Amino acid sequence: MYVNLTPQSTGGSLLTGARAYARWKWLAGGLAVLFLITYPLLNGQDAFGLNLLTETLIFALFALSLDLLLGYTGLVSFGHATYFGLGAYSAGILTAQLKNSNFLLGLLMGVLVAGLGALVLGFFSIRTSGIYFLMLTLAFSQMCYALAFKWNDVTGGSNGLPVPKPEFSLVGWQLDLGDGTVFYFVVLTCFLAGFFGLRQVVHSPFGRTLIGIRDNEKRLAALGYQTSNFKLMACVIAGALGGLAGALNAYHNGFVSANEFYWTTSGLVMVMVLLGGKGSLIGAVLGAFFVRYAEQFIQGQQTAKLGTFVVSERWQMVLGLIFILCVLLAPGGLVGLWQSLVRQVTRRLEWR
Amino acid sequence: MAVEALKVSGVEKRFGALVAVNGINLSVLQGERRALIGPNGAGKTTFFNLISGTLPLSAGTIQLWGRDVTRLPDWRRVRLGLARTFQRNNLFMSLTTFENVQLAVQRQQQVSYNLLRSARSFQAINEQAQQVLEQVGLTGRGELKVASLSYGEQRQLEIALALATKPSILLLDEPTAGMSLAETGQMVELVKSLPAALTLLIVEHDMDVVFALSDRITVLHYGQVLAEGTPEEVQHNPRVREVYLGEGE
Repeated sequence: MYVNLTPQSTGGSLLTGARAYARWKWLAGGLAVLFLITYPLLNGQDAFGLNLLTETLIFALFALSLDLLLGYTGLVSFGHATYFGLGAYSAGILTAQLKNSNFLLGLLMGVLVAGLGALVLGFFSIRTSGIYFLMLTLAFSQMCYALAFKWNDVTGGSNGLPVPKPEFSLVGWQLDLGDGTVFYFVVLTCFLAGFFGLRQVVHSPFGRTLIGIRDNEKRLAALGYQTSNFKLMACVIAGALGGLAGALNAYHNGFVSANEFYWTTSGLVMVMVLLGGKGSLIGAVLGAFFVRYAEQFIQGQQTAKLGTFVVSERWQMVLGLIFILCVLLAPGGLVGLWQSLVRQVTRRLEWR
Repeated sequence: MAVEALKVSGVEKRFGALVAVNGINLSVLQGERRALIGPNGAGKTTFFNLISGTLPLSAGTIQLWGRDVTRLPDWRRVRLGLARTFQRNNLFMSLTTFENVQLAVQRQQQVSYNLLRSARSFQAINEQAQQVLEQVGLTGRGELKVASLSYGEQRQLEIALALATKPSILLLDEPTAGMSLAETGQMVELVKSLPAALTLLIVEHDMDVVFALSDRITVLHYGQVLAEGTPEEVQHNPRVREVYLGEGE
């Protein structure tokens, strides 16, 4: 009855590309998970490498939680360290000050306190948007930093808080968390649960709504949505997951310091998400891996020099340069770069 | 006697010293096709924004189906049956056509807070979304990203989103703006095909479209009602001819 003005065929080729890409994604994802599971079994002696991988997974989880706000909901939070810090201090204070060494309780406290913190802070910050949201979240995290830095009796102040080794026991099942491999698998489990949990969330009706808020919040309201509820829920989920990462990091390092709250922590995780590709869960993970491993690689180049600079001592500068290049040349991050590559390859193949 | 769907009394909107809407009274009955016309700057779009709740009013009251909604936010008015389209296409650009409609339908079917199931797996939503796409003539375009739809198709999707909320009153803000002649014809057919019980309020510049669609016309001028009546009455109203229809003739 109504004439379609563009030919149907353009849609067809776009779709085949998308399907091929989806198949690729499952294959690559399966291989990545297989790699993560077998890594400690194949590299049993490499404590340093395992340590790095554990830390990277914790930061990947942290980056995932930020991506829900930054990439999916379009809320540019520059204070995500708040939830990392709340999680870390919850676990740390429980273990060091309250002398409760229950690991799972520590994680649970981290999740609950950070989620509650996100509920309270989110309540205020979602009333703003854009640069004001950014400044407000930054201000909240710096307030938490000041509090952690000054409140000696509880947080250890500028000395930080040493966190003793926790105990894992669940209905008679004991794990030795002092063993790097065991701790790694606990972190991997949390990471995979967080990843697939978030994946479920972003594909749910709720997740679609968040994307709608990012794309066009006013139109969503014109469809009958009370958007502030959704934004607040996104804040709570992101905060709780950030808290989980923070608590894991506290146990992993055996130490909590006020730096967890500092704006550089927020900045680092934001760089991870943007480098990897915001609005993509894989992107957040890739970004975390890229930043952590590039840092390790560059700091390992003890002999490389640029004039009188020893490159290994200028990691921040190198990361800055990479970040600038990425923003200029690949605004979609690593994932965006990969997608455009796939698109070009499939287009070439179809032309033939 | 027909039920009053929308009643607007003494509505004003001031932007600083500028009075955009200066005391409008309007009553639209159920099933009526009411066109709102007037020269540029007459306050038509501002008036729409006041009715839909996008802008707060400076004075006056608005009633939907006899209920005072003057102070209700836009999303609450949608839930009372009021939907609108926008003058400029106002869609969710990173989603496909089908996903755009799904987003509107999932709110109407109240599953938007569901976190645990895939958005694609709701049979009732998919069926209704498909039905709405069919209604506006976008069958077969569902899998395309909105950005790759033609302009006219994006206008059709605008209407699909509004229809997906199952409105009883629909505000159409220049549905044929920027459309080619052929697309305009399709849009007129589409609006004509809407159920008779649906109350329509249409802002439109194209007088052919206005005469084709409306059974009553309200003429706005400088934020006030200049005239109101059937298309014939308005057409022959000397004051209307002077300020509006006569222009350029």
